[in-house]
Amino acid sequence: MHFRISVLALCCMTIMSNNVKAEESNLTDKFEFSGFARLVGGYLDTDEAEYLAYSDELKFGEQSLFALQSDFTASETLSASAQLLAHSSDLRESGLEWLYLRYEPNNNLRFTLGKLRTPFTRYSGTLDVGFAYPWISPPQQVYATFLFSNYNGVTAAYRFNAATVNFEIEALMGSYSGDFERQGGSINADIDKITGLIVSGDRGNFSFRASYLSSDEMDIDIPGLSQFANVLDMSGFNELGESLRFNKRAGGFQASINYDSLDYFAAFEWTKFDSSLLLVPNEESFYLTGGYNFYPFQAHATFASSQSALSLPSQQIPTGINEGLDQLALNYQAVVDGINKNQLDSFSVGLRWDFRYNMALKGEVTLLRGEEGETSFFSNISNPNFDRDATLYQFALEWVF
Amino acid sequence: MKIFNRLCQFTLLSVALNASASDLVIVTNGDVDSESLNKREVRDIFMGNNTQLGLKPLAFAPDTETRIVFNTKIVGLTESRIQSYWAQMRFSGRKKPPQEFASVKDILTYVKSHDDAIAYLPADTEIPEGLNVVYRTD
Repeated sequence: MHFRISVLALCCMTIMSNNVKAEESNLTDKFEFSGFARLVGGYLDTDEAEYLAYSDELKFGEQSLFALQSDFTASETLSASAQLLAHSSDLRESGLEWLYLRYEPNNNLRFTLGKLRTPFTRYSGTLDVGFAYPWISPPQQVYATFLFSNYNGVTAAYRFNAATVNFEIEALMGSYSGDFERQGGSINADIDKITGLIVSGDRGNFSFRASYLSSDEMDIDIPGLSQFANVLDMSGFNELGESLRFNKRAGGFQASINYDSLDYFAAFEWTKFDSSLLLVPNEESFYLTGGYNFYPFQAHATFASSQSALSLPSQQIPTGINEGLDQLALNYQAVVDGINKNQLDSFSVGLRWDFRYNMALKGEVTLLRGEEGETSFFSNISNPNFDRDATLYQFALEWVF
Repeated sequence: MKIFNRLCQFTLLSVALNASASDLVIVTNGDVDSESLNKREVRDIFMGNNTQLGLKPLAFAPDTETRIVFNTKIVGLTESRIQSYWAQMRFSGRKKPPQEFASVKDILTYVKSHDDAIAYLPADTEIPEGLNVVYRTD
């Protein structure tokens, strides 16, 4: 489905472009180019693990990127956009990040079709645009939760004003196919049914947002796992075998409030990821941030926290009866132990200097306090006794054009 | 005493000049009654949040004095927060920032020839016939 939608969007763009040529319109007026870039350096003060792929040597290649967006306006109601992204990290694919058609029949309605960004959290749609938010790295507890950053599908949004509040309700449907990265590992996933609903609103300098996204009909390929699930089935442990299969629903809730003024800003965002899948832990996370504006500078302090829990099946493999059952129990426990759990508290302070209206320099220090025995968003943990405490130092140049 | 009086006059003149430089009028060529909008409605229009009036907002280029006054008195955000907001809106495909102009003359030329245009101008601007002042800052 994702391929068909992208091809359909591309075909429509070509037709729109040809129609414009036929009408001998001025094409340069119809195309608009914009973009963004960021150069991010980071250093983690431990040699026992990595965080966001930062280690105890200064690195620039983890979050630096350059993107070019082209918007083509075919008529007052129909437009198309494409976004090309060049990312410095090996964990992120460079190429077409976005390709979609937008139809706005009036001021209230908006439909989009194509390859789109997953709008789960407040900044999910613009996670690569560092200029848009106060941090260098948004709190991972909230922003690393969702499995896929973009999807192929359709959205319908309705905007209206009621009782002095501006509302927007957006529904989406689509699919995802590709690899997703979590703490250094890459897993191939096909998700045929993604649905979501987002409600947002604002009144003056106050805004709020709530969303629910769920994914169903998943086909996630983890080598060896389905064979092990079959072995458990054949041994009579169907519940345990079933727990290793991706045939259940997983969904995420999000809610946020935000207040901005000339001098101060404050925001709270909460996410809860509910999954009946053993391999995708339930996670509940939030951050609270506050900042002070003294233009052209801005300072922020942010506290973030996450809790992780597994949906463990009630069935158990009895041990001490025979060697085969002991080995089966040991292997199942090894799978459970290998699941990333991400309990982490973090506190960061940062300073932003908007030295030009479209360029900013940022510095940020983040204290990380994870849970021993869990991944806690760290990767490549070289010492199992690593206490999951570290400090991340980052600086960045942000640019939009 | 003469010197004191002159000093007072100069101070009052400065205050008056500053007041006029820091006040704005919002004008449109659209079908909107004179001085019928409130501050929240003006803010919504220029932040792309008003769906009822169907007006196209125009803005001055960043770092111009009139824009700074508008940011402070109407939007209530610093330029960097406004730029961050528009970066988020533009690159998430939701809405685009207002078209920008370098001078009062350029803005007036555009407003006069577009029925749906709405713009902010310094309060001491001579408003051409046919344009409606829909809001004044205090």
